[in-house]
Formats: sequence, C-alpha cells, structure tokens
Amino acid sequence: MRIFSTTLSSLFFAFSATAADKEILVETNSTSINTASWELVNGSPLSTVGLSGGLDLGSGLTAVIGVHWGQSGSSHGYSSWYEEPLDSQGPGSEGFVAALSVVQVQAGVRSDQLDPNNWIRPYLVSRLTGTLGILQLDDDPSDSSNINQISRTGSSFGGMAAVGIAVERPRSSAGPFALHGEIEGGYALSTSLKFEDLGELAMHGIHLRAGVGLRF
Amino acid sequence: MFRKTILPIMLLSTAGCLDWDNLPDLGYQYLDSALWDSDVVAVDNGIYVHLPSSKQIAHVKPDGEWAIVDLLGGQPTRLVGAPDGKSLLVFAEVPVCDSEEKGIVTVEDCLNHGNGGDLRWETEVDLVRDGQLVGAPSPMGSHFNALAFTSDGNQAVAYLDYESASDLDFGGLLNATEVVFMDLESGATTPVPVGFAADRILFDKDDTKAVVFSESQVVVIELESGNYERLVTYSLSLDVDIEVRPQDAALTPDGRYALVTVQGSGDLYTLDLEAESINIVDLDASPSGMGVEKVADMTALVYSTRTQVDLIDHEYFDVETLDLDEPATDIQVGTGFTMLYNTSSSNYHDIYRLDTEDLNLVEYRAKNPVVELQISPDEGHAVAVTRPEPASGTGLDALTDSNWGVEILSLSSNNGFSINLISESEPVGVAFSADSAYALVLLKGVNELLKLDLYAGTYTQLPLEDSPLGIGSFGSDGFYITHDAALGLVSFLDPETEEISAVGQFAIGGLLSTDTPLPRQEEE
Repeated sequence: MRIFSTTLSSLFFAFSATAADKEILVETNSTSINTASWELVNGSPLSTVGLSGGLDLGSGLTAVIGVHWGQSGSSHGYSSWYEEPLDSQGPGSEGFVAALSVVQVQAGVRSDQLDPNNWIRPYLVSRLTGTLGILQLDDDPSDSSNINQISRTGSSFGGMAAVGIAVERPRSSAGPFALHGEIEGGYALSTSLKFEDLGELAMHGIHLRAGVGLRF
Repeated sequence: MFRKTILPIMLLSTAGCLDWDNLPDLGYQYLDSALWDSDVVAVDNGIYVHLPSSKQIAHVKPDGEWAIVDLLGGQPTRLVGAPDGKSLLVFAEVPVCDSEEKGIVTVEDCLNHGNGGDLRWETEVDLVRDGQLVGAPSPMGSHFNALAFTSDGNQAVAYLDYESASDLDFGGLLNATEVVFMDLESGATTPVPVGFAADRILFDKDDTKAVVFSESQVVVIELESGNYERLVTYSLSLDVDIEVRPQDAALTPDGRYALVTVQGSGDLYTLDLEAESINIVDLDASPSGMGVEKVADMTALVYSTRTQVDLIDHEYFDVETLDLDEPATDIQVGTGFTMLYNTSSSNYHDIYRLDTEDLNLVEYRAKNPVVELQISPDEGHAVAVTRPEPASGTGLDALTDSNWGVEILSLSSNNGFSINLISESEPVGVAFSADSAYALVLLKGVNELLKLDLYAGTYTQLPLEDSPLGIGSFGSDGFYITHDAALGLVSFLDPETEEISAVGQFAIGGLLSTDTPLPRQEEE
C-alpha cells in the first residue's frame, strides 16, 4: 500500500503544472459482470474501492490514473434430497467457499466541458485497465490447515469507456483547493482472468463509479 | 516490465486479502450436481473418480499424483471397473453438431446459430488403462448403462439395468430386446437379440458361453467364434399372456445348469445347458435370496415370509428344508457354508451359519437388526453392521437398541459366539485386512479409522483428514477412503506401515468453464 501511494505521489509531483490543475479522489467502483462463470464467485456486481488522481493536460483533457481493490465470494452447496435415497450422502455436504480478490490499475484520459463558471462539468472518460485476480477455494473454512485450500492467480487487460458528471466549485472562483466529486457510468471490456486448471473468469460488464476528493 | 514491476506491486497490494480465515461469503449458490462421485472405481494403481460437474474423470494415485483422463471430448456418464484390475470402461457421450454453418465450435454455438435439431449426442464406451484412453471409442446405444464381464475380463456385455437408470434418455426408439457384446481387445461390438428387458448375464466357468436372462426367456450365446451365435433359447412361459420375470439367477459350479427364481412365483427353473432341457422345481414361495455353494454342490434358498431355508442338490434337484426361528432374506456364500440373515425393515435379529456338507445350523443373535454382513477373506469371521430399532428395554439394552452396532461373528464357533459393539454413529464402511486379523471400520462424522481386532474386539484409532464416506481396497493390499469434502478428498492407507496419505483438489478441474466444445467436429 505504501509503495503504491509513493508511486502515485511521485507521478503527481513529477509534473510541472499550474495551481489547481491536479486532483485526488477516493472512489468506489461497481462492475456488473454478466457471465455464467461469475456465478462461482458471486452473482452480484463486483464492488471495489480505490484511489485515483488526475492532472490537467490543457484543452479540457485530464490524465487520470487509479488503483482499486475488491473482494467477492459466496458459498456453494449441492442438494440432492429429491434425487437420492435418504441414507445416501454425496461428497461435500458442507459445500465450499469461492472468493475472488482483485486489484486493478487504471490509466486514461478524461475530457470535460471547459466552463469555468459552472459547478457541473459533464465529461467523457476512457481508461485502460490491468487486473490481477486471486481465486481462492476452501471446502472447510473452519480448518485452518485444510488440504483443500486452493489458490490460483490470473491477470487480464482491458479498457472501459464512460460518461459522467463532475461537481466542483467553479474554477473561476475557487482558491488553491476545491472539493471535487464525480459519478459516471459506462462499460468495461477486458480479457478473461485465466486461473489455470480452474478455467476462465470473464470480467466485462456495466461499470458504475463514484468518487469524492480534492482539486488543488 | 509488467512481471518485474507492476505484478509484484499488485501482489503486495492484495496480500491483506488472502486470509483463509476470512474469505468473503456474500451469498449461497446451488450446484446442479456434486463436483465428484464418491462411488469410485478402484484399479491396481489407484482409483478413478467421476467428476459429474465438469464432466471428466480423474485418475488419482496413492503417491498424491492425479490427472484428468483425456477422453477426446467424451463426457463420462458412468464408470465400470473390469475384473482384470487394470481396465476402466466408461459410458460417455459426445456432442456433435450437424450444422454446416462456419464458426460453430461449441455446443452453445450450435444451439444459438444452427437449427434446433442440429445438435445430437453420440454415445460410446471408452476403454481406459493407466489413465489413458486405449484404442478407438466403441459406439454404444445411449440406453445401455451396465456391463457384465467374463472372468478373464476379455469380453463384456452391455445391457440396460433399468433399476439404476435414473434418467433414461434414449432419443427416439429404444430397442430393449438386445444386448451388445464387446471384445475388449479390439473394441468391436456385436448386438445380439436376446429377449425383452435382459438384465442378468452369467458366464460359464470357461467363458465359452453366456447365459442371458430376460423376460420369459433365457438365451445361451457362444463366445468362442466371435460371432456370438445363439445356441439355444429357453422359453420360461408357453403362454404369451403370462410374463415370467426372473428375479435371481445362478449357474451350478460345473456350469451345466442355470437356476432361475421368478418374481411372485414359487417356481424354480432349472435349465440344462447341455441337454437343452428345462425343468421346474416347485418351491413353497418366491425366494428372496439364492446362493450356490461349491463344496457341497448345492443351492440354498431363503424366503422373506417363511422361517425356512431350502437346500437343493444339483443332481436330482431334490429339496431339503431346514426350519429357522426367523425368516432370512439374504445369503452370503463361503467355502462349505452359507450365512443367512435378514435385512428387511422388520426387526429380526437372527443370523445363521449353515454348514452345507453336514447341514449343521448355527444361530447367532445380533443385538439389533442387520443392515449388511461381510465375511472375512480367511472365512474365520463375519462382521455385521446393525441399525437402531425401537427401544424395548432399559439401561444398556435401551442404549443398544437406540444405536448402530458392529458385531463380530466367530465362524469357527458352534455356539454362536459373537462380540457386540455399540457404535456412536452409523458405520459407513467395513473392510478387512489381507490377513483377516483386523476389520477397518469407518463411522459417519468421525474423523478416525477404527482398526478392529477381530479376535479380541478391541480397536485402535488412526486419524483421518476429514469425515469419511466409504472404504474400499485397491491393488494387492491397499485401501482407499473417500471423504465428505466438496473439492475432492481421498485417503490411501498402507496397511503395513499404517500410513495414511490424503490426496485432494482433484474435483476442481474446469470449475469455471462455461461453453462445451464440440471436440470431434473437425474430424467429421
């Protein structure tokens, strides 16, 4: 975590820029992944939290980068009471837990409306993404030394495009610091996370993001 | 760049997430089927495990290695072990798409882009040895689900076991009047008409003839020429309105006679396979159990409704009846004796040992009703698993009645000596050591293997990795134990060192796969 914060700070201060041309936000991201294999992890959208930063490039363009972390998971069970005699029991009566941990880095460009007197600033943004996923399976979470603690790592690359609205104090009247908020929606596409013998997990779907931070 | 810089940073970032004690669990999902089937098939060098969810087979070895068997895209539906201890026969189905449209590579493509009838499933039997597919798959009708083998394991007969056909999908017309003979060396298959609903096949001691029992008919087929010709057909009924359904069948030790009991009838059909004649022995009722004993060369029959055992010699087929105190439903045959016991839902307790040469009848009294009985390899002991019954007494009697039990019967005793053990939970598996000194017993929910001394009735405990589901033997003297673990778990026991090694994780293959490939599309 510290390593990444340092990396982000270095990136910001490496640029020689005018006052109030940088921003940093705390944000949350939700991707509604609509693939059958996603059911293994969880049927609901993948939520992540993260940090992002931006630097004005001029002409209404802002370079943005960010990093996100998230987890999801669910229990799985098999019920055969209607198929098999009562005295039979299939393996895995306690089921198993499947959990996905992801960290995603993003970098892209945002284009917004250059009206320095307006609080509302609609924008378009596109980002490239790189995702590292770790899938964990465990069929006896109460046993810390369970032989069936299984972990596989996969990576993917992709991109996303979104439209959003930023809210911030008009730049014409703002001082050196201004509160800044964003909300956006779009679509994320990426290659699948490949977990070796377990198979692949597609990561594309509708993407929603909200963030709040400071422009300085 | 990515591997050297960004990937390590990302891994460090996720380090806090990898806590096995606090995996996120945000919901509950139901699986269509278990990831693996604990009814495994043992071979000399390990076991084969059916993985219904991923439609694969895992070959698991005692050294901890396991691998998925490549069936060239065939999806296994049922596994059968051959008597040679090496071969596995797999009923499998293969998706085939008849659409000529380009770009169709999966079943889903075929369903989405082709016409509705373009997708079909071909069914076959695959021969697997040492984890590898051997030869070409043999096409097989989709309704066949069971195999009977000759004693040398060179030939097999595929038939429909309707009792175990939980989901019979025969796609069109079902011909229930034939069985299919398979040469396991060449993979060649030969369908042979045998009569309606053939579900019992016996082979003579030289594996030169097969006797196929079907409704109202018994057919003898020769196996030597490879043409599988019908030698003789016996009709069990002269009136087509009367259906005679075989219940049990056996061959006499010399292979000359086939004995057939009939559902709902006291008729015992004796088919002379040499003279090609048929005779009917009149019994008092329809037998519930039949066993052929080789030393005395006689057949024992028991009845669920009658307190008697009938003994029939194999020369004149005379019936000799011995009275029992309680009816018996099951027979286990030893060398020179038979064990008679009752596994019906009635609460009978008697177990009998009948010495067939001198007709000495020894009665053992189990504490509770018997569920199953096994005879040790040296035939010195038998072990019976008993179930709880309504408590009729107080104190220890009540405790015994309300619990499962394991009973060790001394088969050298003439006064019915037995050791009765009360079990804290249901016994789920019993196996014997090769020297017959011990029985290995598993209890449901107990993470221990009980090594039970058959002479003293004492036991020692060996710790297990997880709750057991069953036990079986493999190879010359090894044992495997299946466990109640969703992602796959089997333990292997070396009886000499008492070392137990667990192998897991074999049921996870393809857990995330979604589309089903059309494996042999290009070849066609």
